[in-house]
Amino acid sequence: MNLTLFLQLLLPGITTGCVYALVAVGFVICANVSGVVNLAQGEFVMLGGMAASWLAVTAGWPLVLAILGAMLVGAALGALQEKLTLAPVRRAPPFIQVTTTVGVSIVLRGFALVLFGTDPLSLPGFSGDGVFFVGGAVMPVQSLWVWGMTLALLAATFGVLRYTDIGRAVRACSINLQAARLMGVDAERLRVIVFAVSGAAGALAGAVVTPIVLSSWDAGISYGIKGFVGAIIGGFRSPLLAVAGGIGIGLVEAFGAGYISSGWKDFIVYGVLLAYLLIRGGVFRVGRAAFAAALANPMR
Amino acid sequence: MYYRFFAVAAAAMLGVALAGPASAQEEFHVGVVASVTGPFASPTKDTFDGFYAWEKTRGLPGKKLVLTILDDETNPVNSANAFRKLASDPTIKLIIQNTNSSSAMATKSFASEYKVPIISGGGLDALGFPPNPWMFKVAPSSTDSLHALSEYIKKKGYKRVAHIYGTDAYGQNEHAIIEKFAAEYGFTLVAEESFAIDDTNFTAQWAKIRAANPDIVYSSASGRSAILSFKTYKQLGIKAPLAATAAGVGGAFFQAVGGPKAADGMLSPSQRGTFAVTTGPAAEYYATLQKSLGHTPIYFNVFGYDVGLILEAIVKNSDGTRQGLRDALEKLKDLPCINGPVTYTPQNHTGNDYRAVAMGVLKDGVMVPAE
Repeated sequence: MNLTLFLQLLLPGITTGCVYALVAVGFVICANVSGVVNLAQGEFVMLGGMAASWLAVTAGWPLVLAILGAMLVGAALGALQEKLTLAPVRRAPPFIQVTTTVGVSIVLRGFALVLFGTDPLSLPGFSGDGVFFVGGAVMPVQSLWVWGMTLALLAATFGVLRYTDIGRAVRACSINLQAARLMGVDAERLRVIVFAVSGAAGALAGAVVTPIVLSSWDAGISYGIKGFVGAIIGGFRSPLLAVAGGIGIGLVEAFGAGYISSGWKDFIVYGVLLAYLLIRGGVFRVGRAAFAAALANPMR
Repeated sequence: MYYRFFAVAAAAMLGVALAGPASAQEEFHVGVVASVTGPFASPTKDTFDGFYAWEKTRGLPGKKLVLTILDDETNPVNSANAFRKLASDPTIKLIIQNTNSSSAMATKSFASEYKVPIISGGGLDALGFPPNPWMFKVAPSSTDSLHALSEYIKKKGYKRVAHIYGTDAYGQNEHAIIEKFAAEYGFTLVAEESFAIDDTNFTAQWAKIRAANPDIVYSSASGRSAILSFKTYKQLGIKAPLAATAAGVGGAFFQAVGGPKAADGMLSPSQRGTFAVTTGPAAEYYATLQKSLGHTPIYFNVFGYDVGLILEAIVKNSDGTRQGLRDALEKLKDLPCINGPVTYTPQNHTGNDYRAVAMGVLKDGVMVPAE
């Protein structure tokens, strides 16, 4: 095996997977607290990238302030999404609530289009636009920021979930919402906080990844879909599995394109998802049982 | 969808605003299907800039041009719907497809149904040949562009060629032609890598290209794909020269990669108008366009201006009806345009031909003829 090629596929796959992982964690946490799959999750990544780029390049803000500004935008929009679009339809059937998030996704895309225009926006690398080498493979230095930021955000997420009152409240809500309410958890307030934090985290992911992949008003769909796949692999319950799912999708994409065919990349990703769902859904077990039943009573 | 509404409204207002002050002049209505949003938005904007420069400096003598612009979001299905909507309006005499090849192809089959002449963007060969009686393509075919590239490859003695292309109609068409020319010109395709136009990671493709050790790489990427593809090529430190389709070299490309000088050395099979045109009638047009834009015109600026020149010529030589405009288009022979002479015949509706294409190279940020 060509080690350089292997590393050249592995490392960018991890970088892309990190972004999917962050989106996937956002999906899982929002779903556990609100019971709704937030299909606008990818748009916060897009908005974070666009806002940070616009603030830093066009408005001339220092990079740190531009990123904080983008996170603020993400947090505000996340909180508004929950307060203005999900809270009013809380008692509606789940498909109405999910459809509402699709509407928010389209509105956010339109908002970005009108505000930032159609051209892809870029952002300078946080430590310059240099590269580093690992076993002959070349990586942009910015990748280190993506990995570091992902680790930091995930560590913070797990730390908050495990060791803080808010985290315990989130976990309680995900286990039994009614019981959590009876124990004094303010679920409405908690949802707003979780959506705001999720929006800010998505925006940060977008800002960090923009120096590598640019940002464009229509980029959120791709992040959203791949992050959604990661969340599905995580069973929409475990943030840790969602992280593994997101990074796994990034790796399958990279290795699929590198070792099989770049033209088959999406086919492979969604093929793996389908296979995973069928296996997890018990297709082999159910299939075996049906086969055994058919053998036992062929006339049935 | 809200964003579509905003985009269309904004584009329509811009079109009306730039159409000039109201007057008693006879109105001439033109419909435009444009990729105002989506991956092809940047080239579309550059094309509009060139077209508006033509309108400002020349326009239609004695007539007020009224544009109705619909956004297709760089989506062929939307393109077909927008086209049908425009073609159903009897006041619209002609439709301009300011889109990529895939969106333009989506309307080709409807052209005869609605009997409205179309001046179309897009490099895909099938847009102009075999011809639809009502559809007229301007850009030279991909065959003409890749003919220039293959001649260059042969002249340089390159034997190992890599190709990276999109999975859309344009990319697939370019790849089919490259495969055909490989045998004719005696080179081998050592890497054939594809991508979806909304991809954000091109490392796998470029890593395989680097591993194949080609003498030259040809990229059929345009829009955001062209930018990301170029950045990855640079990051991986690939030594083989890069040739890119002219469709990928636009204003947004240069802005994102750090200016035209950052792409120095990049080759492109370019239309003549990409170089400073200093001879013939096109020299005057080029100077006018440059002055109006306030900067050196890039490929799609020139393309937009040339569409205006074609429109001007056929309005002058027809009765202004749909049928009359179509007939006038088919009679155009060697109309001087910046990118090269435009000719249509009943047998071929590709306006520019091989005479409009030459290999160019970016030197000090300016595209000059390649040695």
